[in-house]
Amino acid sequence: MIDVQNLTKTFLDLRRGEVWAVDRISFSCRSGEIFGLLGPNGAGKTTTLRILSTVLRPTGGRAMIVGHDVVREAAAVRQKIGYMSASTGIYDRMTAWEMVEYFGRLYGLSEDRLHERMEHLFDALQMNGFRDQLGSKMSTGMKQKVSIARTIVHDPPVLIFDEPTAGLDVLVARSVVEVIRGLRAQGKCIVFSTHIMREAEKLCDHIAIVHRGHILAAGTLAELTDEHGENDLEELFFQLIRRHDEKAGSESLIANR
Amino acid sequence: MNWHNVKLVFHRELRDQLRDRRTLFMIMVLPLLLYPGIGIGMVQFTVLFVEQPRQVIVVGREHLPDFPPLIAVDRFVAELFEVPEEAEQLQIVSDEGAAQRLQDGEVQVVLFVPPDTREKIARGEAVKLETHYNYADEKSRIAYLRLKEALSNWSDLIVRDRVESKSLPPDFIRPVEFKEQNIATAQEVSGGLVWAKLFPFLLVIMSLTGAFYPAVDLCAGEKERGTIETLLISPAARAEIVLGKYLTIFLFSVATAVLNLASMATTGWVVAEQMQRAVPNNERLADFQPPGLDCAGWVLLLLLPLAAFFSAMGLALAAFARSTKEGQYYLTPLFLVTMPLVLVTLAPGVELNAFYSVVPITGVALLLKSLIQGHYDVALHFMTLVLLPTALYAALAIRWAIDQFTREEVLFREAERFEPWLWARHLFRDRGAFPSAAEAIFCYAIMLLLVWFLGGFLGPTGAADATARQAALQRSLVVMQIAFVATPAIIMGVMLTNRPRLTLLGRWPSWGYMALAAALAVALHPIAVEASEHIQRGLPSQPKWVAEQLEQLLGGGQPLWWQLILIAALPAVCEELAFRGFILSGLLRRMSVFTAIIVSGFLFGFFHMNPQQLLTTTFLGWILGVVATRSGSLLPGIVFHFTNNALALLMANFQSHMEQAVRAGAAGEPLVRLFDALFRQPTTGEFAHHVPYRVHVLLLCAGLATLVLTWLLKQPARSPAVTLSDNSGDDARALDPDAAVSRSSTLRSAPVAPSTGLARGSPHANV
Repeated sequence: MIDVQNLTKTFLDLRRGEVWAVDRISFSCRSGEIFGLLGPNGAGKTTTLRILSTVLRPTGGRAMIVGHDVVREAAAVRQKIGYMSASTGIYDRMTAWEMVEYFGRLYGLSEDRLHERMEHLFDALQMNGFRDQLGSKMSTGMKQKVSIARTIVHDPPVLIFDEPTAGLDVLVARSVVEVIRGLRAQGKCIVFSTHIMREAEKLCDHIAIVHRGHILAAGTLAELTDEHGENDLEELFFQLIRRHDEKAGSESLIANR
Repeated sequence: MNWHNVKLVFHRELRDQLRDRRTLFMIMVLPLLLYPGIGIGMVQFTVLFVEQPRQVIVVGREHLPDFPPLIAVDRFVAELFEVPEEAEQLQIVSDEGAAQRLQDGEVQVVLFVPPDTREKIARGEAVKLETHYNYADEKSRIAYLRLKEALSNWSDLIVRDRVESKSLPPDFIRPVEFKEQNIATAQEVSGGLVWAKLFPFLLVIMSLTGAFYPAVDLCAGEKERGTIETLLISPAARAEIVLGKYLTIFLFSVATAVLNLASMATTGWVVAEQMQRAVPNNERLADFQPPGLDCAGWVLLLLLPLAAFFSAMGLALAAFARSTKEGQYYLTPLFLVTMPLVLVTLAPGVELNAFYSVVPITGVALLLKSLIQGHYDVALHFMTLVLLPTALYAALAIRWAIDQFTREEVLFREAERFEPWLWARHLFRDRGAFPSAAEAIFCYAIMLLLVWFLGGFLGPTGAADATARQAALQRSLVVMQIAFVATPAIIMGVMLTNRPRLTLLGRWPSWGYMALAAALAVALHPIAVEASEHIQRGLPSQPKWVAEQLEQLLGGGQPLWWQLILIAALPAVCEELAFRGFILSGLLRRMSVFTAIIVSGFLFGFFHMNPQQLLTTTFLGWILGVVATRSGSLLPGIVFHFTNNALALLMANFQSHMEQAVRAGAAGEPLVRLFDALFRQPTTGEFAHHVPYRVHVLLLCAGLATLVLTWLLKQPARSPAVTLSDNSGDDARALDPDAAVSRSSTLRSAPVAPSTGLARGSPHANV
């Protein structure tokens, strides 16, 4: 469903020159699977997912989603994915219902199908209480629910969630995680990024630990712990990052000599 | 283009704007309240506010004759005023301490009547009445003017008495009478005096502001509120999103202008009615009569292209802005650029012609002016010439806006501190093999600024004599070409690129191109001369000093070789270095070869800052662009440029020389025969200075030029900026092993880093 090969993204920074935000990342994800990108802030998770959502163009490498190339067939890819991140806000001057309806129409759903689907989603996500409330008047939790409804209104086969629980209280975060788990049960292919170990442990079938644009390690939770002889994901995470930074430091020492 | 999506976006944005209290207030409520408010204020001030009578002291009042009467009790006699009511505005007060009270501003005017006034008037002599007033005080000035009117009429009465007493006919003192006949129609008067000037102005302001605020909210506002990415990941294409937003902005722009004008017109009408009732027969009010319905129709019609244009401009600027605050900053510069374009239409004598038609905004404003004045033939004649370019400008601005929506650095710009030093260092450190398009434009801007600001100081000073003027003119030409044209290009080429020599096209071409370029210049010369002659007739003629300066520059027996260096060689080398060297190489990085040539041609044409030459130089710029890209070298362009300029100089010399020879009766000589073969005698209608080419010469030249150009266009582009660049900025590496290791990306993209690369690796090799 998702196949990413040597994906690379550089951009220009006045202070640092050319910056490698994503450095030859490769992974793949199948239907009914959750693939987790686990990494600290600034690791390149959001950039990777933005490339998958066709908003950014990769500098190098290739990403295919349901057989479509994210660069050459961007329109087809956008039709097939649902994408949600901290920066996909909702409109202040639109009600919950209008917001979801608008995006459903942009996805080209017929009016009957759209409204049937929306009734279902508003029930399932318990959003009927603020159906006609304007975005500006909603709480963070309500907004997140509207975002989720917007993401899945067209029932896409691939879903991309960029830190969907960031900034939410425990209750809402838990219900978001439940929703994602439910989507997996429906056979969706899900990519999910987080910097919270517990979430990755609970939710992901495959985990990739990302740091400074690189994937340091990838595999199922069991594979990761076996391979590195460390049972605790958190410990493993810190070890990998420390090792990488030490290596990088020594290399740059050689390079600068 | 999926119109369903455009419609969806349009509907959403429209609803969004209608729910925004600020927008609604600005567009709907403000005009409905503002103008009636202003109107009420105006009526209050001008009609209901009664002017206070001014105080006048008449010193020596008792010396005035009884007939004709000047004063009745404490007022001047009403019949002495054109509007008799004005007599009430001057009150005569007691004459104690006149000078002091005038000083203190208590009284406004003091009139001194000398003691012998009565006798002198009776004897038919002249009296001198002295009037003191304070020019710096407006009240005093107005009172003085009123008093002057009364005194002048009083004086006329005395003259009439004297004429009558001598039994002369009353017309004796009025030997000539003036009678005027005004041929302006009522439409021209009402349109011409106020509205024809006011409407274009108002329309521009309103359609601009009406477009700008929604544009900022829809683009920059969407970025600020973090919904832009939500929209971008929807299946709607960028063009569909932009178009939907554009239609919304357009609608608001039109609505703002219509509502404002309607409210203004209603208020104006009501105020005029009230004033009419309060002050009947006020002639000045007639000028302000609101124009008819047909005028409103024209205003509405021309509002559409203006709104289309401003909506597109606003959209593009707003799409570039990071936040609504930044977006609103762009309004002022846009206003500052727009205003002169409208204000020029207010200048007397500026009328619709081919040149103004294609100027954005000015063309539409002038078209509206002529429609309101009822000059339909003129308007119809230029209608297409105005509307097509405006539509084109709007389309270009929309293209630009769509472009903004696809550019990551614009969409995801983060608020970072701007540090000029870092920026300069980055330009130098991360320089590519060739300049970027932005650097090319920057170079052009620097050249323009240098010529504009410093060029003026180089010229001769007013008092200098002819020789000194000539020296100064020549010096300024040399300095301008070398310091302001060639030097910026060379310095930027060396500083900002890795391959300055290739950027400036410094390599040998095949000799064929040199010959072709010379041939092309020779073939195009007669065509360019005739074409520019035709174009100049449609334009306002060149100011005299331009020709005079050229005369001064070259006149006075300068040797021909020196003239050739000044006029041909120097510009050929310097301008080619800048335009076909640095600028075209830079543009080629961002644009297709075709677009780059077109744009560089326009830049070249505009650089000469001469509307008469604009089209010809632009055209030559295109030809030079073709020559440069096809040959991949600067030299053929220099040859072309030199030949072209040299021909202009030589042919002018040749013509004047030959004309003298023909007049001297030297027919039959080989040179004279050549002259006859090339030129025909100008007919009387043609300009005396212009000797036209014969038609078959022109046809031959056109054929030759077409042949050469067709062949050139079939050649592949050989510019290094095209052939050696893959447009990603990684071009240097392919060329230059030294450049390769200086850039970290080689290290990373190569599976096995070369040892030299590791050893000289860059700071971010391992980031």
